[in-house]
Amino acid sequence: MLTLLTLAEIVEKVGSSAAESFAAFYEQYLPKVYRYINYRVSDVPTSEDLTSMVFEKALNKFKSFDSRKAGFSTWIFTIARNTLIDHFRSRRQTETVGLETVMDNPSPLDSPEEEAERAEEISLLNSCLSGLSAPEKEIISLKFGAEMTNRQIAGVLSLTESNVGVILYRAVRKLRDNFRGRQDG
Amino acid sequence: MARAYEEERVFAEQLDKALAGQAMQISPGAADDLRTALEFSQRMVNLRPDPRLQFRTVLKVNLIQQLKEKEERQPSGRSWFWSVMPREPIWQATLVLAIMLVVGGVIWGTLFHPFTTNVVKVPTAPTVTSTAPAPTAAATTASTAAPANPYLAAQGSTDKPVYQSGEPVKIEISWQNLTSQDLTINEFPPIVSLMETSDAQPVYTFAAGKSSRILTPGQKAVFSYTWDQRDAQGNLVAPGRYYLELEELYYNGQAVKMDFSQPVNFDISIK
Repeated sequence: MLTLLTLAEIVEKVGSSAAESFAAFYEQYLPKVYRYINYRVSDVPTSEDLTSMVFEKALNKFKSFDSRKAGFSTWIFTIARNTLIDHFRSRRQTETVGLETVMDNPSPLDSPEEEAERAEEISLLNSCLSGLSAPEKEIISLKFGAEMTNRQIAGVLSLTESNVGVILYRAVRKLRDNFRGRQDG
Repeated sequence: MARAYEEERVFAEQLDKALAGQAMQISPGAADDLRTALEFSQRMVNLRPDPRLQFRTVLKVNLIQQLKEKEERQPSGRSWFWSVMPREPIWQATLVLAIMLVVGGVIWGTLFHPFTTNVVKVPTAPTVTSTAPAPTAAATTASTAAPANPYLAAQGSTDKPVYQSGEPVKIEISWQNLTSQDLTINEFPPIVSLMETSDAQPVYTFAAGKSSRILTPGQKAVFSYTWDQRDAQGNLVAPGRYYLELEELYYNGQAVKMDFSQPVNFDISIK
């Protein structure tokens, strides 16, 4: 027999302490938050610093989280977006998009040649991403990083769902053409 | 125009599949532009970075440690005053100012307006009525869209497309077991949120049910809700467009996205 649970039930089952509950939440959202941030900043150390800040803020507010006001996903990505906004504001830097190669975390199945090829592809994709407009970058980050549906993205960015669909499709085709062009060139 | 819209729809649908770890299904007759865009998306999904294992582990240990220290500190040292006092200085200052205003107001009222009575309005709690879950044998509506997940399909409807402000909104949601085994939903019905389209924020959430429900293969369970157009604080919501959203469920610790087969939207108009 299959059993489906809500996140609240998981948190409840994992343990009664806030620490154990937070650990379950952390495992669920860390990769998505990290990827979302990594699409928006140019290097791994900054991505890691900002991800740490997001989870520290979440930890401080974790006990006061009210699921009647927003879902876990909306809540954590609101914190992540605000952290990024503060970061860009404080650095006064123009937004750059990056997927920095993390060579100390390669897939265990990849050979050194495959690892090198993957690193090259990530680097190429990184430079293609920097050619997108700001709304396109944001949508790509929320889609591929945060794994949001078009409807959720529309809500976050105050756009219509169909508008998100159009921009996303256009951005991916632009990336594809740019990627191909650079590979061939 | 219609072809472009269809391509965007197929693209979004297949990309969501790839992000959920499922295989994309590209029709052999798909336009070359769409097919190559989907193939490239799959490549982007595969190239997504994962956080370093060391970073992941160290951060987790640090955070859990911080939380445990907080939990240990709280019962012994902190007075009730500090437990309600915000941490940020700006909020501390705001709270102190608010207290001073209240105290000042009370003194002013007592000294200069001793006979004025204050009427405190208590917001009424949202009225929610529900009927017991009633399984039905046959599907009520046909759906052309792919199911959101391989376990449970959800379909929803409202009794009207447009409501006057304050008019009760009657909602019916059905969940159908898509698997070939008995499926237990521990808290039935799952959490349902009423979302405001303009900002995609929930205005009211129906909490999960307290009872467990077992659905046999193919069985459908229907649940009815009545929403009085009030938010969690008991205030009437603003006119506008609203939609329903389902909270994700979990199977073996993995999130299972819950989407309606067809979006459920309705409008609230001004009287």
